[in-house]
Amino acid sequence: MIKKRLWIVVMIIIMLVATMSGRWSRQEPKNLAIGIAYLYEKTDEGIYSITAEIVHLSGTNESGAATGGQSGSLSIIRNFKGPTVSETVRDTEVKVEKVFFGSQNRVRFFSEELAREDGILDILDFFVRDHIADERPYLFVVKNEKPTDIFEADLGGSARLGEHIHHIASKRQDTVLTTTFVNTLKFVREYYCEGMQPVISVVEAKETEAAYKTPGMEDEPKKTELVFEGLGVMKGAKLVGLLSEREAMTYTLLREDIKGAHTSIPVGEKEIGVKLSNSRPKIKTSYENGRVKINIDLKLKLSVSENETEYDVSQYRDIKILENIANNHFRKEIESTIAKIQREYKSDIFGFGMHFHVQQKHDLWESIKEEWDDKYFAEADITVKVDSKIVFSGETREKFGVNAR
Amino acid sequence: MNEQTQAVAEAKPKKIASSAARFEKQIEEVLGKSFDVVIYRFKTVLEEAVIIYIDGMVNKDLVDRDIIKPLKLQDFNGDVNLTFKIPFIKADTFDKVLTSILDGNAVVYYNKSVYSMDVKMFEKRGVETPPGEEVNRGPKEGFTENIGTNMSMLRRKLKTTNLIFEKIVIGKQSNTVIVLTYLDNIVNRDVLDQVREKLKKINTDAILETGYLEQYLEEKPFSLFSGIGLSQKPDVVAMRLLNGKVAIMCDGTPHVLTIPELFIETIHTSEEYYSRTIQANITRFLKILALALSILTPGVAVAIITFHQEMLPFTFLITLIQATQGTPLTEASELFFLAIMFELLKEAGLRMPKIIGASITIVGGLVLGETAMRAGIVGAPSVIFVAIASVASLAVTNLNEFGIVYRFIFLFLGSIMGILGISVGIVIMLTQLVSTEAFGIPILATFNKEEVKDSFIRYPLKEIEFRPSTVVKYNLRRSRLKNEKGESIL
Repeated sequence: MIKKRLWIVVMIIIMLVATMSGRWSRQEPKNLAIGIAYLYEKTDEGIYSITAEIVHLSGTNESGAATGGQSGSLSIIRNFKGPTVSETVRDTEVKVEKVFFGSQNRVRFFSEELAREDGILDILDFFVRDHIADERPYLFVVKNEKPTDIFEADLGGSARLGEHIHHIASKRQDTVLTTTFVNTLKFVREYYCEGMQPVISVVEAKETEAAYKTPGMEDEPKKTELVFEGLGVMKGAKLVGLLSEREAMTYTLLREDIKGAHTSIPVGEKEIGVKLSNSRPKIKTSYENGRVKINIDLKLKLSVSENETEYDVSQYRDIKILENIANNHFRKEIESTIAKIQREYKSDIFGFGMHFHVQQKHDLWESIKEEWDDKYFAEADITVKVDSKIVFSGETREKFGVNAR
Repeated sequence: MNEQTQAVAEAKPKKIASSAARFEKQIEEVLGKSFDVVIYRFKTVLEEAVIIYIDGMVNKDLVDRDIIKPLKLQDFNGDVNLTFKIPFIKADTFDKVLTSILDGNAVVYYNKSVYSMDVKMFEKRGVETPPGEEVNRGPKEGFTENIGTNMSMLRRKLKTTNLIFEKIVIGKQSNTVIVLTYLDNIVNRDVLDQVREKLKKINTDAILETGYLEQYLEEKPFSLFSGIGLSQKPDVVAMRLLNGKVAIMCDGTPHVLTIPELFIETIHTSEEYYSRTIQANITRFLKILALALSILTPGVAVAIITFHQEMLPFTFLITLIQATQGTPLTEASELFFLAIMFELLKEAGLRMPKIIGASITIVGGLVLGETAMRAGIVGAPSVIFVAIASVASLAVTNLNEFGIVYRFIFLFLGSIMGILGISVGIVIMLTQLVSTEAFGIPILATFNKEEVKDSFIRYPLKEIEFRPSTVVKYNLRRSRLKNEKGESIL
């Protein structure tokens, strides 16, 4: 009896000793400095400069609940420097009185210069290697000349930059055609995928007209707001070019699941507004005489949300005409964008190589994969077929007011 | 055995004196010092008689009308059979006479014989609903302190010749009547024999409550489970007897022990059998949830908050930091402090008179919780976590000691090792549960094909056709509600 009990005690002690030695990460939450947005730059001297947005909590109100946005700034911006990323992190230890905590990070910005010239490979290595670095944060290239401008942008309803971007990126992905929000996990996955190049989201702090003027104030300080438009084309870990918002639409149509994104289709001089949903395109590849042929078959569902034209969307004949116009419109957009990427960037961000790899013989892929982006993708013959269907024409039939009088 | 008891055991039974005067003296020697013993010698037309009883334990009206008055009548002819209007038995030794008196009987000495008559009447509490076992649906009556009442309540539930009440008297000073109750055709003989054996071996001063018996009977005093169930309600005890268990009643307490008790039965209530299946299962699910919450909440909370902040939703983490920013203690010490405070409050609330008890709850709940928070001693989230655990623990009061001990174990493990500690704790807990036996029956043995129908879930009553086979060894079938093809006949 006593032997048995002793045995259990010994077992427990062994278990505690064995397991506890690895658990030194105990940390009171109140001692944490939670960084939620980081901007990575490289100075002219080749030193990493990291600007971090740290959650700043100015105490509690009476009942101990969160005070919301009443008491001054909710975050503080600090800058750290070091020759490598990890030494920059070490710099935080002497500059911030609390322990830096990265697992609730929301967004990582890179200056365009850094992304273009040095690439983000070293930084990615740090993300993947460090145990508190998370794979959820979204990755952005900042278009601004002075990237730290994004920290000054007006955030509307959100309290902090990191949260603002997190909310937009996580909630708006499937209704936005003009950009794609790429998180670290998606980036790493695409980076490692054979026959595919990653993309990166793009953000810019743009000056806006002040929405209102305070009476009596002459010089309203100029405000900036964040604009998410276009997409960064990566080749490996380096940025090779930026797509405009129209060009980014091609990417989202071919690579994302869109559910009800608002867009418009030009019909003559007027436009018809639609809500668009897509299904993943069927991509067929073939290989003849050293050239790759790629067929893209894209199906779209359109729901009319605004009709400026004289077409009656309740009539079968008119719907067919509109569908044809839509087909042509999207086909042209896609063809011209792919052609531009083939010509200028030579980076297969659509993953055609992945489909080729799956559909063709393995040996063939092995023999051409080294040159896929620069030669085979860049020179591929691409045909696009778009099949749009207007599935819903809205609550009314003809254009508003046509037969009113 | 010391010398004194040996001497008593070896002494010859004392004989009853041969005349009324001498009998009176004999009694006075033993009981005369107590003034509640009434010894009354009186003359009848023939010989002298003595009546002895204890004031306050007998019905004096009956004694006057049916014993003394007939004896004093002029036409009394010496035939006691005709004279006494109450059933009586003859006591042949002096020891039996004394026991009979102390039991509350009236004893009459007449013509060299002693007659003992049951005219007991003493103050007792009426039948009430026992606190802690209230039900919405089902009988509201509970056992009382009087064993006769208790036996009659049980007899009314189970009108069968198989219901056996075995009397065992324990306690050198108390001579307490213990009643071993079982259904002869269903009971598990092994358990019954073990219990009877142990009960007969108990040699002690007094048994004041079944709690004494529980502690004498259990095998491991420091185990969190004694394997012995407790109830104050006749319908619950009847239900358990029907499942092959042994019940032990004790004079002077409404708490009845049932042996053995399996782990899952500690969270069952009688209402779950009286209400319909869905309702019963909702209750069971809630109780299991409550058990898990009461044990795990503070431990898991401290583990996640201090080790795995990345698991917390961002907004909650922010709120948490804001709430705890001004507090001096660590999260773990806050939870320890609050959990101990809650146990204190519970204890104080139970011991206080009811009126003060209510204010204790207010003082405890409002002043301690709210003010400690406002004063910046503890953070609001800690109060919530402890409150969740505490409320949950009140839903499974049968597992009180289990809940408290493991709540603190998990809190400790969670605060030094995080989620890993919680896993270690669960392993320790399961190991302990699996290795515990109650009178030879493993307390987790509920997972065979038939018994699982009444464990974490309850099948419709029509489906539960057999008694639990871990306890009942023969006469397993409880009901026959299906024909040969397995179709319901109802």
